[in-house]
Amino acid sequence: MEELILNLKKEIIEVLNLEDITPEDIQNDVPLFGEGLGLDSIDALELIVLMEKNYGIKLKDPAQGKEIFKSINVMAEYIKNNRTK
Amino acid sequence: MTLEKPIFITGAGIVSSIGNDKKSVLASLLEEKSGIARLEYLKTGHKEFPVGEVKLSDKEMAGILGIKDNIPTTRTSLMGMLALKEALDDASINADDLPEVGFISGTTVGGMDMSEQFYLDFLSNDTKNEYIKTHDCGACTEMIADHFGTFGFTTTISTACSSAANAIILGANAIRNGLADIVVVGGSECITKFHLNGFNSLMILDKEHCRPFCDTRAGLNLGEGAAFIVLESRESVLKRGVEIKAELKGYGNACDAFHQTASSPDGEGAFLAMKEAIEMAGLQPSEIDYINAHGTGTPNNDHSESQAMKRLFGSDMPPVSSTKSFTGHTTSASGSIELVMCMLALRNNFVPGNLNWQKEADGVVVPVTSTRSNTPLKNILCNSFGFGGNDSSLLISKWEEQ
Amino acid sequence: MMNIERWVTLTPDRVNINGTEQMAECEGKEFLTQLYRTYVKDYPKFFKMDILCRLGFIASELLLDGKDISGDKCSIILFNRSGSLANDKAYRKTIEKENYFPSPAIFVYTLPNIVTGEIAIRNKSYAETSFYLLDRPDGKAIEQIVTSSIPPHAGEAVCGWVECSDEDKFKATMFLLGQESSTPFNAENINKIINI
Repeated sequence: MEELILNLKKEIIEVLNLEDITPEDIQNDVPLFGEGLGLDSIDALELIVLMEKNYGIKLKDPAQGKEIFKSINVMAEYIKNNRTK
Repeated sequence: MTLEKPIFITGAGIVSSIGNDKKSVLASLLEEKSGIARLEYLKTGHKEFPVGEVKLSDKEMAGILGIKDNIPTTRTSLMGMLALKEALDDASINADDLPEVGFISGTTVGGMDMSEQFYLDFLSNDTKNEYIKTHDCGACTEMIADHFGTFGFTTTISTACSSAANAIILGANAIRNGLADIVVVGGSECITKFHLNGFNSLMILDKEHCRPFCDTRAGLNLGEGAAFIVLESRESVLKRGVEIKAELKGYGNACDAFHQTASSPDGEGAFLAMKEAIEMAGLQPSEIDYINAHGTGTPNNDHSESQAMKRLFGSDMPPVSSTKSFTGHTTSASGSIELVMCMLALRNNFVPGNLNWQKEADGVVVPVTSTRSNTPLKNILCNSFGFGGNDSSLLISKWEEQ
Repeated sequence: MMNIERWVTLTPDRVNINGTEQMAECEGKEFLTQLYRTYVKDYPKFFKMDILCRLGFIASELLLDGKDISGDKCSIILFNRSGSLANDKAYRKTIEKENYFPSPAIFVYTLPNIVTGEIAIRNKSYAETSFYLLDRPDGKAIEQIVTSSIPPHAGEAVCGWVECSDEDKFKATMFLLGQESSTPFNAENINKIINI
């Protein structure tokens, strides 16, 4: 799980171009959206692409993303249970 | 600030999924006949999305225009030529007049349809290289213009889905500032895989027919088409003795300055654009008889635009509808396509219906759900908003000789 | 009649602000990042922008140098030849058959006018924004379009040429227009500065 979390953070930093942020800056249980990383609706869509591209998980609805992208912990848990690659 | 010199519309031409000229578009609007259907002309795997395609192949359009097979063209330029031909004929402008006439066209997709078809050829061989020069947005405008002769000046505007509306605004400014007496303005845009995939990645395409302003709305349907109108100064109208079809009485453009693509929750840009247009016309909001809304059918746009309209019109909301329920979202061409529909409404006294609407949504205006005929209209507002927060509003009025 | 208050030109190897030239220590896209780190620092959205927006954004930051253009009085009108070509190519790679994952974050920058939107967002400007395509940086066309677009009562405008056909092939010339200076915004001066 720890490895998955670290990889996930690296992937998020890369696809969302979070240039000056390191994996250590992203806390596992803090909301990804709202404050902190300053992510917006396009970032959420890009995370949906990441889920499919890297883990083979297809999300049909942006609203689904809202639940899954609550925090790194929630996201990693969802990936662990649903990944197809 | 009101316009010191009136700006008249003396001609119009349109090509869209509900008809390839004004007459057939008018019939479709009155009969509530939508042009949204399954994909037929664009070759893509995404057959699940309904679209508003122009019901002519490239070959058929080239045939109508008398363009030989070996001349490279794009779908955007072919549709543009058909619409421009109707507009020029309508305003009695012939090839000899063109050096005195300006031409401003809006497009964002440009020649992408051919580039995506031949991109691999561009990279690997020289068989399709003649299409490289048709790619740029500017090249599409030149192709459209060159089919008819030499215009006094031509330019291309690219402000996403408000491109054609902004072409109209630039043309009006050119007349207002004495740079030209006649300017043909509008836009043209075909559907491509490039932006069908892009809008899909934004998850704003509805797999059903779009339902602007409805509680169940789930996104837009892409459409395509072209429309041009002829703007003319009073001096030129008098000199040429042509009929005035409508007056462009006001226009406004403002930036929403909120997000690259999303509209702000309070619709600030839309509010400012509509307010500016109404003020320029010297009118009160209560004098607007119909609003042809941008109304894409996405949850975000329709809510934001409704908020802007509610702020401006309060409880005195004029009839509102989105004709995108007929044509889909014709992107860069939508501003002129919808303005031509407004001209048809103005001259034939009807309010086009907002098809497929079922249920009122929180904070969203309730549109006119079916076409209302025998409704005299004097002033119409036509909204057109684009990514980049580029929001425009045009105001046309019935012309009555004083 | 508008005058040129201040101007900036920016190419992959140098920047020139009102005649004062600074050579780049690194080239191309990296140069824009270096300018961001030196002069802007606190706007991480920069790293999400495509190359055309980065170019226009940095040019506007250097041009405005902290000047307040918020509100609805300062139009932003830009021109180029290639539209959003550099980013269109990047987006196309995401819709290739072999590796088909269309990127929303790249797609939203496949429109040239997003750069005017980014500058407006940064400066909280609700004024007119527009983007035109010309086959070359033609001073006369730029003068005519800009002067006829700006309402007579408008105090100022940001305008210019922002062209980028490739990540390391770009040129921006941006003007701040106002009433103060004595350099008229005309075809001759526009061409002169663009060709510096």
